[in-house]
Amino acid sequence: MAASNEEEILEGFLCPICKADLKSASQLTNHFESLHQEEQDVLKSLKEIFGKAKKIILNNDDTDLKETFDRALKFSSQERYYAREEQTVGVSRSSTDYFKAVRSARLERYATETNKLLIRLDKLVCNMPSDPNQRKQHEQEVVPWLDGSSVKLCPNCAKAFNLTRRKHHCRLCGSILCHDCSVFLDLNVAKTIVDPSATPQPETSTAEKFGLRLCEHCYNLVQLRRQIQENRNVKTVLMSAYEQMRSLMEQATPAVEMYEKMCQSLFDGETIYNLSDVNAMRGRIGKLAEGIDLLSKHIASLPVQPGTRQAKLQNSIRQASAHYIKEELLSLRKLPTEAQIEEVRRQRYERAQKQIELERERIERERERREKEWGEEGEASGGRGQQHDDDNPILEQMNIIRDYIKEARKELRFEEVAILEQNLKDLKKEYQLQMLSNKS
Amino acid sequence: MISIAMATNRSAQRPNGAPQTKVCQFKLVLLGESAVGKSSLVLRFVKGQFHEYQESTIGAAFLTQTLCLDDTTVKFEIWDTAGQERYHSLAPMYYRGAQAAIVVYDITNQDTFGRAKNWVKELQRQASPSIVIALAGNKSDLAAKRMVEFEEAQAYADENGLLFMETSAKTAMNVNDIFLAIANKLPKSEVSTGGAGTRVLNDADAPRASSCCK
Ligand SMILES: Nc1nc2c(ncn2[C@@H]2O[C@H](COP(=O)(O)OP(=O)(O)OP(=O)(O)O)[C@@H](O)[C@H]2O)c(=O)[nH]1
Ligand SMILES: [Mg+2]
Ligand SMILES: [Zn+2]
Ligand SMILES: [Zn+2]
Ligand SMILES: [Zn+2]
Repeated sequence: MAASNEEEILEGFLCPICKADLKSASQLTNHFESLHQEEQDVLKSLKEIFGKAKKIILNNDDTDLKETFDRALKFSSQERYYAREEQTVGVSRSSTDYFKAVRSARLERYATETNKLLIRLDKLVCNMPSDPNQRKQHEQEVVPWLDGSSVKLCPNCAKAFNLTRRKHHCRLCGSILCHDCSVFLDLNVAKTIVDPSATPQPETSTAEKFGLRLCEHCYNLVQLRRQIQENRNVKTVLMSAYEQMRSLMEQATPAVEMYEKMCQSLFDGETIYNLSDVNAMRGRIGKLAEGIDLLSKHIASLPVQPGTRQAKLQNSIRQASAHYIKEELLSLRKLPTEAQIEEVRRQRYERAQKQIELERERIERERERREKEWGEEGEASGGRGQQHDDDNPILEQMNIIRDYIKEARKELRFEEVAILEQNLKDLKKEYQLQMLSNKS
Repeated sequence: MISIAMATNRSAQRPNGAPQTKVCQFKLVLLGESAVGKSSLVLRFVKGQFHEYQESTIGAAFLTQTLCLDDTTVKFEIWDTAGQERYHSLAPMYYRGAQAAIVVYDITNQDTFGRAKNWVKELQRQASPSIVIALAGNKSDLAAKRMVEFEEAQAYADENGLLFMETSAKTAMNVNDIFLAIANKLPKSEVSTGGAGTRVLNDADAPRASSCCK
């Protein structure tokens, strides 16, 4: 009754819509989500199920964090939800050529003018004599001053020159102006403008007295040049965020190393660190991870034109840091439980106890042997009795060190804790030996 | 309007079996635990074959098969999903928009029946509300090792309004029948994708002696 079918059987990670074989489950879901997303509700239920599945697979305390990073690592596919309304374009005409023509003429004029001023500025600033008269001569040699005998009004503010409103000259263009229309350029600033590689000196407050008198026009051109220079050196928001992020990473790497060391020590049953120490360390790494995450998210969300290299850079930074966090900071090994630690420590303690016992027996035997050899001589020394321990310097030292340890632990200086604990242990051993030898 | 024309034409066309019929296309999905015999059922239905050593499905398989019912031709687009747990998350993609589903369990394995119930629940919650669901208790040839009682499954199916049959891909028992039962239950509207359209042909008034291409 069934008409036999000629078609071949398809099998694989088939897209239910277009039947393409996507080779893997994740590629299939990505494809499906990005190309056939008409029915959002179905998608949502899909995602929920994926989320659950992932949770089961990872089954880890940090699952939630991990998931967000996983999502971040492929978030580019979800950024296409822009409104796709079409706008009809009216009549248009390109003004670009006109604009470019006007602009390039101006640019050229400004560029040559600025260059001329900079050359003059350079000549002015280097070998500037400190003596006022010599300086005036030097300035006029570089830029000839306009003859002002026929100028009755300040060309800038149109006020008449008189006894109180004296004529002055712009040191860069040589034109005439009144004092009120003068602006002063600090000499140190002028030096950095002509030589950007020079270490910038602080601006002096005496610019008025020792700075260069300039007209507004020249000042603006020079100032513009300075701004361009500064902008070139200034850190962008991205750069400073990135540097901050790097420094967190640089803190995180040794912290992880320390954590691993501490963790191992716990597993080995050593008593150098407490579980709470190691937990605190874990917390600190978590904080660092959080910081790195925030900064990299911030970087990724900086406004940028999609598709540009800048966008790619921001995206890559985010992905790299998400990867770093996931691989380096969230893959920390699990801490042993209190009970596990207790058990390992007990075993260790018992072993140590046994050793001490053996040692004691050995010394005991030694003493008996000696007593036999020297007869009653031994009696005399045996009469000393138990020594009073309270003011034993070793005990005192041990208490001091205990205080240090408390301090260091409070401030999370675990390197120091380790050294001090070792110290304490050595002291203990020494004390035990002392007690043993006292007995003998 | 076409329905009227069809109705009047029907009697005239039947005798020579020339199928001046309309074609309905349905999406059907198979769900169920791994190794219950989903692929085997489809293979039996589509190719009439059975393999003792059927390979476990990866991702999903796609096959088509056409059935002739009276004056309608039903084309099934069959999505045979992979039953292994790790592919579970893909299933919603395949049952999305399906008009029919066969949920399969293995009568010799109680767990697979529990799993089948979960699939039914998921379909009722997330699939199209008008989906026709059939429950298939497969491997009925192994009745000697039965772990799921027929009555138990029948009661469950009745409760949930499912079609139910025990099938065997190996002996072909009830395999065609279950697909046929589904085809009969599906609304055959003018719109070939089925679903919400008006019913052209009422099951009750159509003489259902046999299908045309026996
Ligand atoms: N005895 C018997 N064996 C069957 C029957 N149906 C399937 N099998 C066998 O059961 C095994 C699994 O069958 P499949 O069809 O691959 O099962 P499946 O549900 O497709 O499994 P997945 O693809 O992993 O989801 C195969 O070895 C089949 O030969 C049946 O009706 N009777
Ligand atoms: Mg299969
Ligand atoms: Zn597709
Ligand atoms: Zn000037
Ligand atoms: Zn003026």
